[in-house]
Amino acid sequence: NSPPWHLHCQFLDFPFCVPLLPPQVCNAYHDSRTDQNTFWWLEALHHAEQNKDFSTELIRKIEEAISGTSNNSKSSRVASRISIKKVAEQCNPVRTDINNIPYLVMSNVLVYSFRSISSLKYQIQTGLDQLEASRKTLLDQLLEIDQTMEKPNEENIECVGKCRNCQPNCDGPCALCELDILFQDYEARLFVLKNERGRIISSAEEAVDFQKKNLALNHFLSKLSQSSHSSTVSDISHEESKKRNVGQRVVVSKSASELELILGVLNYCKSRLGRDSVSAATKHLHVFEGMRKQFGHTRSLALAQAQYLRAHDEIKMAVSRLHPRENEDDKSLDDLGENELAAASSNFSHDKFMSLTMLSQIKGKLRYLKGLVQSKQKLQFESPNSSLFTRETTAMSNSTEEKGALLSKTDDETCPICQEKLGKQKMVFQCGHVTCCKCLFAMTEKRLQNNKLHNWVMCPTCRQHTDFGNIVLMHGTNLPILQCCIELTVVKNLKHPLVFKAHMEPRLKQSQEESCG
Amino acid sequence: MMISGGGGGGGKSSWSSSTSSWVPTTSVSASGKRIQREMVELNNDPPPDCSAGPKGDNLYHWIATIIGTPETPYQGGIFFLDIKFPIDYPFKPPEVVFKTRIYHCNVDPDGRVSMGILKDDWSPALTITKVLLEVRSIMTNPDPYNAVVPGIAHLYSGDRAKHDDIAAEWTVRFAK
Repeated sequence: NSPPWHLHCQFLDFPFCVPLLPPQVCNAYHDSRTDQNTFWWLEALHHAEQNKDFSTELIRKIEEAISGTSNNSKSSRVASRISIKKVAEQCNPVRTDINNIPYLVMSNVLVYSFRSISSLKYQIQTGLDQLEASRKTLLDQLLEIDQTMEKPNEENIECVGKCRNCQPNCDGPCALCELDILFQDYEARLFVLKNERGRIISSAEEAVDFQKKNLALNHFLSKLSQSSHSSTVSDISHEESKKRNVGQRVVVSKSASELELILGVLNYCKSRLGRDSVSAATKHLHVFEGMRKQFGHTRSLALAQAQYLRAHDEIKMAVSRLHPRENEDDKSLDDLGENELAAASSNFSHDKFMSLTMLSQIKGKLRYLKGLVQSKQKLQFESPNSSLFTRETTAMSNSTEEKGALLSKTDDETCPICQEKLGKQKMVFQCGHVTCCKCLFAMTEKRLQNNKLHNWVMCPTCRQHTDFGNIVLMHGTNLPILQCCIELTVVKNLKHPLVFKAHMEPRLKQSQEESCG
Repeated sequence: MMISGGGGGGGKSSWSSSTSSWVPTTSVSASGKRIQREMVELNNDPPPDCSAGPKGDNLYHWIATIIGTPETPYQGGIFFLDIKFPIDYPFKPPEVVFKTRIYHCNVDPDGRVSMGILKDDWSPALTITKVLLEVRSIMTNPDPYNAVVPGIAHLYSGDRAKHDDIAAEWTVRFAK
């Protein structure tokens, strides 16, 4: 053992200068903070400073906790191999930081125990401060965007549109991309805190090292051009394995290293701490666990916000597309110019109403998503998200298909011919008036029997002529129906219940909303 | 006619086999339903100075009464009209006949009323209520340019006072 001792004596010559700062910093932190959560671990470390045997056992406990976590972690095989190598290479402590700890402590038992505990205090304080800062930045940004959900910021909507079209490397990242960067920063600090525990180096170097890793991660993500949650997790895992392959001494796992450290301290110090400190420690550990669980929900909320802004962008584009059409109708002056203009105006109002309906639906879903903060409802949290996407797609397709049809209140309306309540199927003329299917067929049949061959039929309400091709069947395929295809098309629609249901469901919901309104 | 009707019947039978909700609209039940609905509507909300209802048990034969409008030569008179519905109502207009003699350029000597909405301008959305309102309207404002009795139209255009005197005389003689 004498050669290792000798090597470590030489190695420890360097830290003689470094620990001069930590005691002052720790005292400053201690004076500025009276938070009980901070106080409890300071108390524990204070006990460690006074008792040499306690200090040795404390460090040993921490080492065991870290190695246990490393073995149990779900990281890749490379991480497992590295941890095995670490255990096997205890004879060569210089290669790994963690294996330096026991030798440092054994040396410190004789001479440097105070400085080791001081550096430990410093690292814990630094980790907690950085975690809190990144979390606060992220939540502030998230809440700022959240407050604009009722009336989204125009710049945010434009940024979403541009960012989607441009590459991720463009100069102006949208608010959501900035939020994504904050998420990565927070995620790295929340799940990789063990990195800061594993090293005994100055804080400046730690910050530089972390920033480098963060930049590499962003660069890697920008290459892939992926921003989904699952991809991010796999990318981080890939990054970790990449760094391990390089051979850098970085130990990263999905569990919080700070949390494991405090767990070890708590388990060992239960009998030595007061009741208040024990309860504070327990509460603090629960906070850490809650933060890690909350990360996924926060991420989902950000994704929902992104969808919301994209929906607004689509609505804007849809509305802008209607203006040229109205201009075209306005330019073409023919016998039905006035009617055409009125019809175009009706179509415009109809499409706007459809967009607003879709928007209100998305708003409702978003409010529902905001309310879900419980971990038990995580699965339900996912399914509304997908149903939101499905509903959005259905609403958009219906909006496109029903451009020629006017919305009308189904509950109050009756067929003007047979005067019975209109069912879910109805024929809509070009002028916007409606009739039931069988009455239209009867009208057509009468006309055929009279040997009057026309391509048009007269609206029973306003006597305007409508070509058969312009009559629209609502809640069917919403396709124009030709005279010779009327019966065939309707029969087809009725024989395919799935297609029929798919188109009927959103209509029913909208009708219900109208009746509620 | 029979061949055409048979073809229509064939189409209807194929329809009824494909969908249970399909009801042939030219059957008596369909037009009967419509006429019954109109009867209920008339009882609930009758037009002014008018009344109408089935004559006896036949749902397709109604009798209606119109009271002459004040400030017209027909004021005070009670005019009876026969209304006959076709089998394929409402896709064909009903037949409206004045049973009370009336001096009017749009009513022929047999009492048949000549109005646009009872001929080419008929629409399936029109109802008996609207037809009666239209009849009452032409009693107030005759249409001499589409007259069926040219003599009355000529007198209406040329000598309105004499026309009104004769109309009032007919009203006293036949409608009171």
